[in-house]
Amino acid sequence: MLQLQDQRKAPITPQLALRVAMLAGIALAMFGIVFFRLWYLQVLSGDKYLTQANDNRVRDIVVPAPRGDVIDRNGTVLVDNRISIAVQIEPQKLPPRGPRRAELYRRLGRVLGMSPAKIAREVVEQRKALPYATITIKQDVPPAVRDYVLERQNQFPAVVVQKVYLRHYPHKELGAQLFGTVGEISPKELKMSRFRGVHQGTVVGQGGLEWTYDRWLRGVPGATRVQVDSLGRPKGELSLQEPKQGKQLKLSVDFDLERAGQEAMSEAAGIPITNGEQNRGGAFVAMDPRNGQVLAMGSYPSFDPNLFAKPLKESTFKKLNSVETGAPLVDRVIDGLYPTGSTMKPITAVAALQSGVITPDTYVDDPGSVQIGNIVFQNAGGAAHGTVSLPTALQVSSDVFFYIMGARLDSAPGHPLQKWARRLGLGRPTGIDLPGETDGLVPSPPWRDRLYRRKLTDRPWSIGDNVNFAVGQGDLQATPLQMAVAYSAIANDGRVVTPHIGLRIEDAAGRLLQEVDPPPSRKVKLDEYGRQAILNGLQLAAGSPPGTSADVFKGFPYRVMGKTGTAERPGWGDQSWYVCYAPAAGGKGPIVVAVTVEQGGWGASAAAPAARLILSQWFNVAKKLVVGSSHTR
Amino acid sequence: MSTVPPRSPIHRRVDELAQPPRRELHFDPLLAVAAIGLITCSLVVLGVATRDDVLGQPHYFLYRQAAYAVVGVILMIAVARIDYSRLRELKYGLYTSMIALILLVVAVGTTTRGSRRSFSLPFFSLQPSELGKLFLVLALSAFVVDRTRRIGDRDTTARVMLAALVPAALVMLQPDLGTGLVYAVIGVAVLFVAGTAWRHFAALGALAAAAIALSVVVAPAVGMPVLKGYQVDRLTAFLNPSENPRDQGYQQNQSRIAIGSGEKTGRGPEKATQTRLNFLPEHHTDFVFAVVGEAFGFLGAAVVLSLYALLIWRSLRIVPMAKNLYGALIAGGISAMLMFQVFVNVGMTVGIMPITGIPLPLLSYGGSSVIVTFLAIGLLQSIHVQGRLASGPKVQGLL
Repeated sequence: MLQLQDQRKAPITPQLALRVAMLAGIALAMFGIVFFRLWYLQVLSGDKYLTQANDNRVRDIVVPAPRGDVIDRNGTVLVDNRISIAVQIEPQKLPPRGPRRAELYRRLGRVLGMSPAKIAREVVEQRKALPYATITIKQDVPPAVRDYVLERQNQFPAVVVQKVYLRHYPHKELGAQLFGTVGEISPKELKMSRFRGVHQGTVVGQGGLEWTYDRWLRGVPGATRVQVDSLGRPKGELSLQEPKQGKQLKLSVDFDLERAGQEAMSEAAGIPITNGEQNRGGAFVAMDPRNGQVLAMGSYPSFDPNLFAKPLKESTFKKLNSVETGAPLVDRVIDGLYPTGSTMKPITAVAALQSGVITPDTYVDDPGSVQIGNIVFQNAGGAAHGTVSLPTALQVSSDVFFYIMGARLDSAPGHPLQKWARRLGLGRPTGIDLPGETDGLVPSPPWRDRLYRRKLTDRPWSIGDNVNFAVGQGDLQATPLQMAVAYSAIANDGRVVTPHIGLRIEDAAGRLLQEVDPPPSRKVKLDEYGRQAILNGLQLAAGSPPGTSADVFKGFPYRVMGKTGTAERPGWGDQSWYVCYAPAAGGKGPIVVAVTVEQGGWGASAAAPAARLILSQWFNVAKKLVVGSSHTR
Repeated sequence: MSTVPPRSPIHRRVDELAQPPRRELHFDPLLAVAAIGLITCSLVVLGVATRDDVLGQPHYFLYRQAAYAVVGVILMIAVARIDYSRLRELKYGLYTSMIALILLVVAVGTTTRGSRRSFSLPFFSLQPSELGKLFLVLALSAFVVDRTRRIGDRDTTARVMLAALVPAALVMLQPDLGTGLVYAVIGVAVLFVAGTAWRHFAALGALAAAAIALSVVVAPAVGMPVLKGYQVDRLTAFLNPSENPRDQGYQQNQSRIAIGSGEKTGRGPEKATQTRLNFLPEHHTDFVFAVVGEAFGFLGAAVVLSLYALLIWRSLRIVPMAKNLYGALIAGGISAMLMFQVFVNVGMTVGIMPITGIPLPLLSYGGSSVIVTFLAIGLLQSIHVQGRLASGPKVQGLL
């Protein structure tokens, strides 16, 4: 200790010692804090951070699944997919509005051959429609463009190039309204139970059969799990789940009949009519009356559904719904609301027979006109048919006979005409497996009186309304499909079928996975004697002069029971109707065909010839366009 | 011994000279072990972290860091052999050259990510603000020694702090906020070891608080921002972690995930995805500690921290061993500098301190930082050697 005094060194002052000790204390505290923090991060919550680190490095890239094909009953492909390379933008990754975004659009525009303004417009429009969905800028880009963009991802932020499956309709306009469209699922749809388990960005059916059978057609998207770096650049694939294509949907539709129908419509619409107008629309449906299987149905004018494979411009969509183009998007088979003209008469006959207003043997005098109340109702062209019973009245389409039926049924208890019209399927949806079917309208006293009370019409129900209804005029609104169902019921002993197009769900090899549940049908009890009288009348009408469509079906080798109709539509030219039933013959099953041609004139002039063409296809008879001369309603 | 009358130092000296020279260990071996251990850790970690950073050259950063380490160790040994006391005479030269270098770099330096911090030299880029830290310690300590008798004066405290804050402000203008703070800490530490009165520190603390309030809250409000927007973001980021890669909070979040995912023993160099897939930013410089945490876990982090603890313990131990006040002040300044850098950097990576861009001494990649740290440790060794020489072999350190 004594040596300390000898030192040249300045002695350690207590103050220095204290301060160094304090520094040491601070250091100790700091190390303590850091150690505790590390213990907390690494030992206590290490699991959590390890999970986060693993989530960080993997990205699940959804690989869309191709939708199932749609085939006809004989296996002809009606809808399939084609692969397209699409350039898309992920809106949430877009650089903020300003020079960087403008630069991106400019660069992308140069590569795709589009103007930057057009790209900006696409982004705005599609974002408005589906705010979080990826925006498709261009489809079917060449592989060179894909490679160019993929190799320069840093120059194209938010731009993705994806292989997408587009719906492909090899037969273009054929049955276009049936299939409906597909599109990316909307936020609203995401919440619907029918889309449970569907991820955002999945393409789902948005209409028609694509909507109804979406569950099966949809498929299961696959996923590629890739390891990525902080910039999202893939660094090796980790695992892959292959996408599963949707199931194949087999329709009851017969492709050849469908094509024949579409051609028949086109020919019928092209038949020169004296008061002929442009853009005549029309619809046809062919159905198996025994079970409601739709064999063909089509609406005219049609459109090319391949249009919808790409995001549709609003202007195009508007055009497809406009009067000028004949609104080709509307499926007139289920949505066309028309008065039916004389094709209503068999239904009136059922009501009259079932309610006992007449028997099949009741004769009524048809002098060419009849006064009911203070209105005189006339036959078309004022023709007088003399004394007629029900079959003859149907054969020659005697209006007076059915005017009188309408008058008698109006005073019969329980409004039998309305009751039987509804029983046979008018005034309510048929239940076909297509979305958006309309009810139609069966005019009735309560309906008109209600409108009158609400001051929506100028008068209450009167007997004249029933008289008009009895011949398919006035306020009646029905679709071609409803008429087909009603005729099927008459032809098939009162069985009111539920029409359907989907037949079965199959795997890609065509093995049955699931039968589309045969929709239930109702049965109404029809008096057999009366039913035969109606069918007899219809057969006379189509097969024996002076039947209204006898000349149209002249030379047709098989039995046809059909009724013409000429419906007056206020503000339009007369609408041509034909509804018929042909029993099984020549190895072919029975068939009911309903055809309507807007502004087609007389029933025998446009609709009946089209029906003959359709039946010719069905029974393998040489097709011949025969325009009838009957000028009857 | 006690009966023998004390002899004058001169006699003792003669006696010693008469004896055959003993081979004595005058430098501090544990301090050297800590420094060599840390630079070894650095090489291991950089080897892991930077494999994919330079395409085709997996060892780019490793080799360069190794070269800096060799240069640094040589310089450390050289400095340890000189008597640091001679440097006191150079105080004005050191101070003015420090200021000049900092000003020069602002004028003609290389711009990296928006700030001018370095000169590009043929083989490496010199960062004068790193070298300046050491110059500042040497110059400030000399100033304080000159005013030893007036150490309690307010005037002394003010002048020393001014001398520290002028280069600090210049460095912050580069802008390099973190290193600027290191300068301020050096000033405070030198005064602290010299024995400045507590009330002066209280006043300095109040001034600092006022300055922070002024620069962060008041100045931007009147339209004269002192800090750049990103600096404010970085300083406050640890309070609000973010998922957005463009945000500062994202970096810290990723750093925390990296460290946490290492768990007890680490994910190993191969599976350290936060580092290898670049989620961890600046993983070879500022966030290198997070690489240690991810690849080697709590165990690895504890080893590195223990080496730092050893380093700081040995540095502080040298303070009272110095043969003169100048040595004590230098040792104190260097110790505080190391403590501050280690704690702020590690605190930043574990998410308890703001992001300030301070490198982790000896572990972060960077020639200037590595070489200057070795120089500082060389100075500590010099103080140790001189202290030992002055006090003889038997006197032990305080701690």
